[in-house]
Amino acid sequence: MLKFFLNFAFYYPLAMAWFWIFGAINYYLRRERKGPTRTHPPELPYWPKATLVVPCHNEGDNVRETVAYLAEQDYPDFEIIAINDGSRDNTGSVLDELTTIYPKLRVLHFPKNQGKAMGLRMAALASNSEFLICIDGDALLDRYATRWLMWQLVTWPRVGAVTGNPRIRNRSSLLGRLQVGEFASIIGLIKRAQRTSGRVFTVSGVIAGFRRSALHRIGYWSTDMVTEDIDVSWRLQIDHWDIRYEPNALCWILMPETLRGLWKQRLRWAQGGAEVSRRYFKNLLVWRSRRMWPVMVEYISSAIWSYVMLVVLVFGLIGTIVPLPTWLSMPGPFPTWYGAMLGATCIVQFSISMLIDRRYEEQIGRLFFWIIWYPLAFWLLGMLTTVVGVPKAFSKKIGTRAVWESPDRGIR
Amino acid sequence: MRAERPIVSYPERQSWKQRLTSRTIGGFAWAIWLYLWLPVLSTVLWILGLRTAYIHIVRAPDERSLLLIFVIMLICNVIVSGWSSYNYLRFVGNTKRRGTDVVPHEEVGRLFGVTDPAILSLLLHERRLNLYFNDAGALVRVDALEDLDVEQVPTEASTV
Repeated sequence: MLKFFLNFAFYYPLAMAWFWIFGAINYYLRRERKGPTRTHPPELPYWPKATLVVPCHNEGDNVRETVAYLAEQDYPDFEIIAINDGSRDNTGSVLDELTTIYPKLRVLHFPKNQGKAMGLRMAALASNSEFLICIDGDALLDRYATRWLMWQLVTWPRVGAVTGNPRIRNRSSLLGRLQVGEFASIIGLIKRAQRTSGRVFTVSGVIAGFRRSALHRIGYWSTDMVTEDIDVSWRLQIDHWDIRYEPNALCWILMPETLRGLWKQRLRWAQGGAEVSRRYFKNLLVWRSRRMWPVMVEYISSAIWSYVMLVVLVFGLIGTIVPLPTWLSMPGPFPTWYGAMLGATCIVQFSISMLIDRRYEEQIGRLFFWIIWYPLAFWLLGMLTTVVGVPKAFSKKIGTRAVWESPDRGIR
Repeated sequence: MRAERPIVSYPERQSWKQRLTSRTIGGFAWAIWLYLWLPVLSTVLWILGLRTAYIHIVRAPDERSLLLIFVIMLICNVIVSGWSSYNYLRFVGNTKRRGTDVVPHEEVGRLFGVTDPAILSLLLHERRLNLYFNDAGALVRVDALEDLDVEQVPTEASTV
């Protein structure tokens, strides 16, 4: 039994890496390689109005740039709805001022902080469009992104949502550079692999397009989940809507560059995953939801892996101080073929992701030197946040409203 | 000046069976060609002592051997490719959702508890709005704010 858990702890990351690599290659060859380039999006069969939604909480320093990028979208018919959600800084007055510059901008002020999900719900209510493109208040949407997202939504009626391709702007520190590598090498591969398997774990909350009639069927975003993006993704897919990944829809985002900021963000993600699994597990136990099974299996096995790995690490550490009985002893530090293959897998994973990703960002290969740290950081951080986040999710009182907390936005 | 090459090449006009057959035959021919080199390969490997390494590492009685890792890679690929192919074949071109209607705005308002046409109209057309909620998160009041002229823009930071 102990041997089984040890093998699971060691082989699971390796197996997952290969799942992602093969899935991403499959996606690239089938859907990406021969597609049009980012700056030449396909023509739409018709051009319905789009609503660009920006929920803001204390975004006074960023929102000018964000709205300016939105106003420059290469799309013929759109409106912008910005939500000032109980900001304590000058976000409200900046947005009011921007209405005099951008005729397409409309502003909803919430005197009290109601949370991102409520902001999105009210934007859906105030929208003059069937299609909502949602970004964060500190994100810069690429000029062609709206067209790419709308192309997916307009062309395929099964598509309920489309998730874009977030790119990290802040790269001052090692943490920033690691996250650039993470979004290209891990998240990009995961999204592609999940897309080929039919269902995705989540849209990226920072850049996603939605069909309002699909959202209406599921009751829009939930206000009591810490990660409203994971929740809405699961509910849409349980209602048999497709969620697409559109790598050409770039969105430049700011990420934490302190360990504390990164920990808080990832803990929220881990808690969100556990909350969603807890709430919708039963809905997936039917044949009609079979396309969601790989997503669920991946989540549950990742969570189990986190606890198993923690135990392995703890006993490994104890074993270096106190001699343990033979049946509890852990493998020595010498890297066997497993170590060599893990190293090779990392390099293959980075190389594949960089090769795929260079379509979207020039000189991404320069980060190759830095992201060699990433696998260790990713799995270690993922393990710790899951170990803490799962009990938090299961002990949380159902119905508790989730409201904003201003995140760390890196070195500016 | 070079003449234009009058080449006719439309491989995409072949059926998938034709393409698969020709590729399989081509691959088979390459395999035979490689097989012819086996004596040379055997000599090189013997010189490098790789057979000894193969016996001690790949066939070693250790479950963390190289072979097992390659088996894991193969299984991952088979699962991913199999499942994605199943999804692709089963759902490609499936347009069951074609009939989904656009939801009327009154319907959207009803879901959020807003049935007054005047408030719905404000929400749809005004450029600056204050929205108030009760503790349960229900929308209880909507105030339209006047559009600002450029001169009216406050210069100091203010909280709404």
